[in-house]
Amino acid sequence: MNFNEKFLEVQEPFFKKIPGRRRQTFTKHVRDILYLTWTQMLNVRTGWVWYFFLSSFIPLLTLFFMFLVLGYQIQWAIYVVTGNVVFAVVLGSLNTLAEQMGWMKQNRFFEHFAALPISKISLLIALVTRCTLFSFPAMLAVLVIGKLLFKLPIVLHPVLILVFTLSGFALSGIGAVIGITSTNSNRANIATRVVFPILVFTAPVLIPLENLPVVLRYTSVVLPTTYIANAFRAALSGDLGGPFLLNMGIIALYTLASLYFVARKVDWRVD
Amino acid sequence: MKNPVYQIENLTKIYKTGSLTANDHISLEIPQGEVFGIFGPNGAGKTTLVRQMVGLIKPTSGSIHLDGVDVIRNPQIIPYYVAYFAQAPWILWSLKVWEVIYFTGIFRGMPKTEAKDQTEKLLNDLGLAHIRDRLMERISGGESKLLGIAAALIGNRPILILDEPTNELDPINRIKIWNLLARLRQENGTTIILVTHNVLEAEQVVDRVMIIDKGKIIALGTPGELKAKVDDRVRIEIKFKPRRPFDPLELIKPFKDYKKINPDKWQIFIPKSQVSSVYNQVMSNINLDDLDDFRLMTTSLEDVYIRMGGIIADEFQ
Repeated sequence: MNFNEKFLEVQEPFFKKIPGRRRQTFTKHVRDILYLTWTQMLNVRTGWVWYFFLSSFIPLLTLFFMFLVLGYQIQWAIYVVTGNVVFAVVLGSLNTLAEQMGWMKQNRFFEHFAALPISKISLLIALVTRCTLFSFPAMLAVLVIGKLLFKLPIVLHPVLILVFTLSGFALSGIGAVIGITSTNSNRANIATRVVFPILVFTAPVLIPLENLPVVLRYTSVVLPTTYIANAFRAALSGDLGGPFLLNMGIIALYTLASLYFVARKVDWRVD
Repeated sequence: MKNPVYQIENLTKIYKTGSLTANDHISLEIPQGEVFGIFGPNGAGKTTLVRQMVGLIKPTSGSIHLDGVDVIRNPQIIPYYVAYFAQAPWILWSLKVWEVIYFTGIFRGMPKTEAKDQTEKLLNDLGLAHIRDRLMERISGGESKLLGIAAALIGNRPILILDEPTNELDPINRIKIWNLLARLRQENGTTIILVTHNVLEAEQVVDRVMIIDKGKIIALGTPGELKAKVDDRVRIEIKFKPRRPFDPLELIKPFKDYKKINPDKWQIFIPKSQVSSVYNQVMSNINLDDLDDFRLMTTSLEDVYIRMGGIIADEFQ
């Protein structure tokens, strides 16, 4: 430090705590993530009902529609229920975060965080966590109502919490990629409207893989919703063997890849 | 000069969109503990300059060193030294007023109790205590400005950069902010960099001033140095009452250097050495009952600001 003695006298106790000039400590990251997540949760204290409504309304409506049209004895009932759960995660995590990040970017709101000694990845994890947590009620609502409507013998195993969390993280991460690569909230909005049907209707989410057109059977391999739907179906049927673990591993990879991409891609600084 | 906390050399910023040169080879040093004012008309490049100083914009060329560290290559260290106020933290719209300040302190690495204590102190100092539990989305523009300033102050960063801190504030709150900044510098040795249009008010606190226009520095120095460069004369400003039994021009004409602002308001410019004799001469020829206002003024920083750049002068006159 080159600052003068008077300054040091006042500031030194604080400056001793600065974790070097290069990297933040792990504990600072964890502390930041916890507080950032907490502020993100507080920041929706007046609008959480709308978040829940937005992420559950369409999946529940689709569920009821399919029940009325097809009846409860349909062969693909498990696909209808888990597909609508995936529907809820896409709406609650991916769409919400993509639009929010586009809006933050457009209004230069990232600068508020950029001027604070917190890392990009901490903020990103906090945003993703908030979106994931807020899509939980919608996922649970679709699952419980779907089970009742279609009289499915599904098991509400605790591992579902892990599937919920990883799915939310993976899709929020992709939402963050869309949000941060869009120049404003309108473009992010348009992008989510394009991505949404691709993720839900071109993967074995609502119908089995063998019922998809041949081309889509191949292209669905790259879509995260394929693995999320597989993991949900396996967890709900209590089959937690190798295929389930493989699906969970792939979802985890999607999560890490999207977070890594955003952390590398997001630059607080403008060119 | 004391140790410079900021060293800027040949800083140039050309925006990719529109090829606008916002900053053109700016070089300056800001020593520790100084209150440094940046003035200039709208679009002069002031905000671009400070946004580069806080690492929010990448410069096109040139260098910025903060406490000896190249912060263009290491922008992540800036928030440990610098608190930056640009706008109210609207992203936290559903947080309560106290929460916005408190969490900013937490993110600056303060322990919880310390952050809480300082939050309470700032709420009281800035007159926000009565709205401490109100959501940010429900406070006025002026209150949000004060809240943004409080958030910038928590954590006692050694360098404070404030971009238009007194806009939207009423006169009492503006005085409160200027007094607070003066106290901060005196008690903590805080280096303060101010971007403002309130030149007259800022004059009370700034040590040095930079006037910038079209991205270039057009003046840099202490207020005294700049005033001497622009005009060393004293100005007598006389405002006559509308109903008067004489023509003001007859009275003013003997002083060769004068200016008519409007039929009732006139200015006379005189060298410092003649102040006493001219003052007596004016006063002996005017009946006080015919005067609405009478002022004897030295050059202000606002005069410097107005006269240093053509565009600035056009805007103000």
